[in-house]
Amino acid sequence: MTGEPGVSLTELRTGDKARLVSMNPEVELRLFGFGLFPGIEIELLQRFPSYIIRCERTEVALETSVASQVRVTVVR
Amino acid sequence: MLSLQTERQVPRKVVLVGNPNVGKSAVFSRLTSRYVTISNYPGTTVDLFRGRARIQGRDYEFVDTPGIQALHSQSEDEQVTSDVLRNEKPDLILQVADGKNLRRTLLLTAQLSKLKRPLVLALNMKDECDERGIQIDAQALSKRIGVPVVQTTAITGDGFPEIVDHLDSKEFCSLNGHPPSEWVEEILQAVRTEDEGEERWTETKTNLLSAAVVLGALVHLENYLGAWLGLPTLYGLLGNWLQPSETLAGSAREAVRLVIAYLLPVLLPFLFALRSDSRFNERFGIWARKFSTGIPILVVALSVVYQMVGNLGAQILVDILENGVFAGYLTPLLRALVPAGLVHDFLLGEYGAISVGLTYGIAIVLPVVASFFIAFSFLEDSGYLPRLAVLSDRLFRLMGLNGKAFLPMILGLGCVTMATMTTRILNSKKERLIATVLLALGVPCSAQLGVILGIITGISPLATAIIFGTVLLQLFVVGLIFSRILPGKRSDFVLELPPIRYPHWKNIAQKTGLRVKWFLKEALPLFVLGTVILFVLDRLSLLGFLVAGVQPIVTGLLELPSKTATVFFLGFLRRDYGAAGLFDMARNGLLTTQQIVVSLTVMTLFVPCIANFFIVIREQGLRNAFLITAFISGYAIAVGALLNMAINFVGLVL
Repeated sequence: MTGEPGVSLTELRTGDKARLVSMNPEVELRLFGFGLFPGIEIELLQRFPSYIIRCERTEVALETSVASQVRVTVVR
Repeated sequence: MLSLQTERQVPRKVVLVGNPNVGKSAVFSRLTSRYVTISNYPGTTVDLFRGRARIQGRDYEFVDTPGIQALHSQSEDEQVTSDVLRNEKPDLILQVADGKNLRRTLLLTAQLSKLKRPLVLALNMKDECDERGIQIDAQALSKRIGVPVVQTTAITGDGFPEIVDHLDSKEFCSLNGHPPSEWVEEILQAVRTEDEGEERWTETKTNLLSAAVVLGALVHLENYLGAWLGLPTLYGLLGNWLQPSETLAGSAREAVRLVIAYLLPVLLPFLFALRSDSRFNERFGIWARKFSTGIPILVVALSVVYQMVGNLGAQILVDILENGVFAGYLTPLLRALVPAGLVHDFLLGEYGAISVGLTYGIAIVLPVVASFFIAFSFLEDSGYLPRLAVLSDRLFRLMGLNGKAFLPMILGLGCVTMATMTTRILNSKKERLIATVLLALGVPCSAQLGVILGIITGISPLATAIIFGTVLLQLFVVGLIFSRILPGKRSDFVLELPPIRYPHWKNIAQKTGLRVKWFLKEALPLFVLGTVILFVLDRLSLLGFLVAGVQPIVTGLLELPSKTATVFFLGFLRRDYGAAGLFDMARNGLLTTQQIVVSLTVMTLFVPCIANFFIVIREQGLRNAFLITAFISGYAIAVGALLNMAINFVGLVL
């Protein structure tokens, strides 16, 4: 798509585990606060009505426009 | 005196800082013996709380702060915390953290270390770590970051002696603002082991609990369908399995059904309060945030709250207090004691401070408010509410808000005034304004909601649906319009979901007690004051003029009895007081169903209360506060008039 590494978070399926690669600077600061930085492994728990990801013991809900700005590589 | 001899010492200032929903307020309450509201959702604390305590001969000033994700702040409540840290130069930063989330914790620790103040790290929720098999080597961690690390469970007090030992610590954090990625993984490897944790409860118990919930839901559903379709039709559809019958087996079935319908909702909290396994909680947490299961759960939750407030509070308790205590003993007793005359009229007359003011406040509104607070505290502490924010996000987006706004909205059902302060958790100015307007316009507070529930149990489901439908539609329409005409943008929806927890009965009791006390202190005097004003106006024969002045609107436009005008006047002070007046009129047969529908709709859309007005001034400024009030007053009446015309036009018989 944009030539950036990895895929958008919105392309994952429920239950997929992935590693964060990069985030758009616009959402970066907000996500750092939840412990979401590049290199961290996350799991996608739900896609609708909101995206929900788990990282460590934290579950975070994201709307689509945020999720689409996060790039990941699928681990499994 | 001893205190004169000892040197007057300046209290040591300890600021509690941490990520949202980690238990700062619980730690604060324990250190200061001062209760501040504790719940299970991020954003419970939106302002600073200060408390002094003398511990082992030293004076301390503790400051409880709103939770922050990071030092560079996002929303107004987080800004409050950043300001305190920068401006007040605390003697000690007590970082409170969720032991289950070390990575986030250390990220914040690294940022806090840049402030160059002594620091102590309290890894809270040790109980939940133990439950999940998370073991943290606090000493190793302490050595690595250079400051004391204590593991605590604030709710039980575990680990607090160690906190107290370190309150005078002068240690600075050695992280010094290092970028975390390099060392954080290394620390995590070194200090913790983790496995999935053993199950405490058996599968059977989990299933039993789920079965009980489903059963309760079915019985409630039956009640609603029965009311909607008429019981004969319903039983015709279902066959005669459910039909109450005269046989022994039939009455036994009936008894079981009654127990399930009325006792289960009340008992469920206690069932939950028993220690249970984290797996049921986790599963419930998943069901609650999924669309397909979340909506049925929401329906059940609403009907349980309705049972608590509408039946137990607004019917049974109100009956006991009003007819039993007030009308039965207190008023006759006072009537016998106070001779006829001015004093008698002042206390017990048509606008008597006791016969109207206190009776409305204590006998009608208080039982309703109290039972609502209990049910609501339970919801707050369970961690369920943020899941509803997920479900409602898409709806709120249409109104220029996002799912996060669900929290202030639902808190408004408790108290609109407090909820208006909670709008600070929203990230943009525009969102805060929209949420404030919607709260003032169409979110009835517990007191009013309870009175409404009390009234509508006497009218048809269709009439009820019209009232709630109209109010919800107005919220939607006004949100939609404001989101289009106001400048600015809505912010993105990013929200942390706390784990589902079993509420502690002690916290529920404390919180309910605090809120009831608050109601008695804030609302009750206004009830009496309103009555006194009416009494004076009546004596001076001014009330007649006032009522005549609004006559065209009340009797002409809305087609309500002229007495409703005084009730609306009371509604200006507090709209629940106005609703209580309507309740009284409805019960005495002074209102037709159509009049109930119209007057209740107007009263629900009306400006909430004086207290809320002052809070809106504080949060939004004088100009906005007046604009909001003027808009809402006009809008409420316009909607009422349109509704009345529509009902007349269609020729609907309610």
